[in-house]
Amino acid sequence: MNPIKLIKNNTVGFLMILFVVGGVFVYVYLLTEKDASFFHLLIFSAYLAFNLMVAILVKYFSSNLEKNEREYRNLFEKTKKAELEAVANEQKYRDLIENTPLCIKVFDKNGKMTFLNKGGREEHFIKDTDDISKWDWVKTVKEKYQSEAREKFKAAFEKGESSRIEFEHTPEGSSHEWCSSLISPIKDKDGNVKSVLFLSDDITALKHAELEAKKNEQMFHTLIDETPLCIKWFDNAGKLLSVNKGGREEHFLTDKTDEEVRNWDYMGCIDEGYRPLVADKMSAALRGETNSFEIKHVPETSKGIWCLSTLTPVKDNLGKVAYVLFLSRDITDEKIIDEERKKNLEKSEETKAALFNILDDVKESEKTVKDERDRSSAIISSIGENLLVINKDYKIVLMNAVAEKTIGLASDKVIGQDIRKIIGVFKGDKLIAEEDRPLEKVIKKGIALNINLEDNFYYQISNGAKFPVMLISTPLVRDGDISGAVLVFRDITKEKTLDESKSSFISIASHQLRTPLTSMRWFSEMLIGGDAGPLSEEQKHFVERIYEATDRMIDLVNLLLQIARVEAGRIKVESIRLSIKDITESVVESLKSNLDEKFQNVEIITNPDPFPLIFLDQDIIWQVIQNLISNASRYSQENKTIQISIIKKGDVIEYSVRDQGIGIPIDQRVRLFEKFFRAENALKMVPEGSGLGLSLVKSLVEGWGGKIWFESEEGKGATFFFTIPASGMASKEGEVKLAV
Amino acid sequence: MNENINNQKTILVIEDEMALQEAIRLKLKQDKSINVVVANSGEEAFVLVKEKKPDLVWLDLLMPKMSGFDFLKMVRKDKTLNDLKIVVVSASGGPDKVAQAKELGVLDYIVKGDGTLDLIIKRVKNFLT
Repeated sequence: MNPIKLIKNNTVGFLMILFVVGGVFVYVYLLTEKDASFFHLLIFSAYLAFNLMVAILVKYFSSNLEKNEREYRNLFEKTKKAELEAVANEQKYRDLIENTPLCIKVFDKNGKMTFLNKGGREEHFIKDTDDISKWDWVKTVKEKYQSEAREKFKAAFEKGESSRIEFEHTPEGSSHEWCSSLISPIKDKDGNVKSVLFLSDDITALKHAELEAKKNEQMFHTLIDETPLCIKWFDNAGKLLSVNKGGREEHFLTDKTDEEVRNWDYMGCIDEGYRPLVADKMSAALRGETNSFEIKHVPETSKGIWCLSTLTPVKDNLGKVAYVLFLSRDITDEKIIDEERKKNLEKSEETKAALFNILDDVKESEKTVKDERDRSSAIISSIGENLLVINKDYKIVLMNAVAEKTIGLASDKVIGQDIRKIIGVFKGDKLIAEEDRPLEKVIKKGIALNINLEDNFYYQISNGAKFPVMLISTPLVRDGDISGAVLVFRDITKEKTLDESKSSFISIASHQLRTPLTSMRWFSEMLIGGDAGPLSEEQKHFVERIYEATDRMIDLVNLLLQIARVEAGRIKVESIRLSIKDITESVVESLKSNLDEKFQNVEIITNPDPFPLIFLDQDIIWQVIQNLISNASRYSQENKTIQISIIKKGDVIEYSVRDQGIGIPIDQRVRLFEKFFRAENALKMVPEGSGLGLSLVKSLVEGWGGKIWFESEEGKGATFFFTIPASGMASKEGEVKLAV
Repeated sequence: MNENINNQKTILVIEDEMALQEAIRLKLKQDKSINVVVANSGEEAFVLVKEKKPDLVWLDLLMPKMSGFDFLKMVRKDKTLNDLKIVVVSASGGPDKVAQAKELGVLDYIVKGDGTLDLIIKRVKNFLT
């Protein structure tokens, strides 16, 4: 045990022991010394304090010493560790330098290569054993870069300048095609160049990529130049920078210089209506938005009228808009096609809509048709008349139950059969040939047919039975073509019998009534003539009354017979072209004595004048006019005027007879055309009169298809009107002509 | 022609209506130069025509059984009666009947109601000369 070390390490302990021992001694002394005074106690206390202070000081110094020693020891160990680390690091760096794929060369201040790492040796095909101090590495560089390399080296050595160099190696000199190198002088603390570090990196791949990029850029430029698209570049203030070849051609700028192009007002070529849009879009692009839109050009400034344009902002590294690319494609043709397509589309939409409408209508129609069909079949089956529908080949396609009963055949036996084989047609006793049948006219000419009782038609059915018919036949017209006919007929056996009775009544009446009347007339005539001896004045007067009455009776019977014939449609009508004005004048002439007697005047006006000839049956028209004028005269006072006007109004001729006579009382107007009716004022004015004239006139007018009416103011006169179709009266077969 | 000593002319009146027949007969007889023969029907008349050979026939048309027209047709078929003068005096007229009668060789067609008996007689007598 080192005593010093022991003491050093246990200073405090020794002191403590010393202190305690000394203390014990003093204490003992004090205990033993009875006369120890306060002074002695004070000294003893001071001694104790001194010992304590010494002990503390010793302790303090000894602990400080220990601390310093520990620190020193730590430092020493740290330094040692750092030293070891430095050695390890150095080795690491050396390995790193040695093994890095970079080529590291170090030159001394004389320019001799002193170090070439493994990467460099491999790159330059240098063996470990080769002396690198004499190797001129610059020769591994392609000739065009050599001088630059040497100069930069020189600058590094002489001026201490760092530099970078890029160069291409010869394939023999290096395995790296392209290198980028750092030439860095290493200086001592005085700033003198001690050595030069040369660090090379293989940038072949980068270089190739760069070249590729350049090539691409070239291609891109060519593309921009050769594209038919119009490309405009704008700076970030929206100012035009350039226009490609396609754009120059588009806008007729090929002979302009670049400067002129930059100053060209590109907005001027845009249709005025689209300028705000373009300005808007340009602002948006300058804010960084990409947008596409269609523009319209002013025709004189551009080849294409319509363009599809895209404005693309080109941003720099910081994301700020640097340029704006304005790209336009001529879409005029497409636009035209598009417009056409749109139109077609609209049309097709319309067509579609129309189609839907039609479909709706069709649905609606289907329903309507079904309802209609149901209704029609209900009507057809419940109709009291015989109904047949015939197609254009005379085949029966429809037949109702009534017709089945009349014809005596079930419809399944009749449908599809030729009607001409089922029904024989007769006019009176004469069989009508198939080609002369009335139905022929309906199907071949589309004329509607109406055969009445007086036409005397008969049908003969398969069992040989023959019956008179009335029929109506109408063509079925579909899309302008006659597709068949509807035939409605009625067995008029009863009507015919009735008509024959009526006819025989007329015949009987005409003979049986008139014969005794004639007899009365002749005998009274003979009496008056004195054939049975002279008569007294009184006797003669009486017989004359009989004669007159008989005469009137004969006229009455004749008139009645005429009306009966007219009403029965038995009057024969023979129309020829006549002047209605001439006939009127003749009638007036025939009534001259009556008119003159009352000093009455007749005025005749026509419109047009002269009035055209029209087809008329002279007897019939005479009868009508004669009745009206004679009434006008008869029921007018003396010195009055009768005005006759004949006016063509559209497809009718309106004939009117105006008088200034007694007129017709309002309450009697409705009965005016009744047989035997005579208005009260007429009876008073002219007691004799049959009351049959106007009835006959009405029958005649209606017989030719005209109308008759009157206007009147009692006491002031009356105007009678009747019409004749402009085509005149149709000729008609009949038993007798109307007797005048 | 059947002429008697007084140079009388014979008229055959065919009329079924007795009253009329009588009136006509009375009126004609006032003329002494006329000999009146009457028949009540067509059948009777046809016999009388052959027998009496009248200078003129007064023919009514509307008669029961054989009508005036039937009589006319029979006469025209008989060639011995070719020269028979016939005048129709009928109650009914009408162009058809007139035309039909004229076609059958009737000299005149008079409607009974047209004018007085006197006038009719005068018109008929015109054909006696």
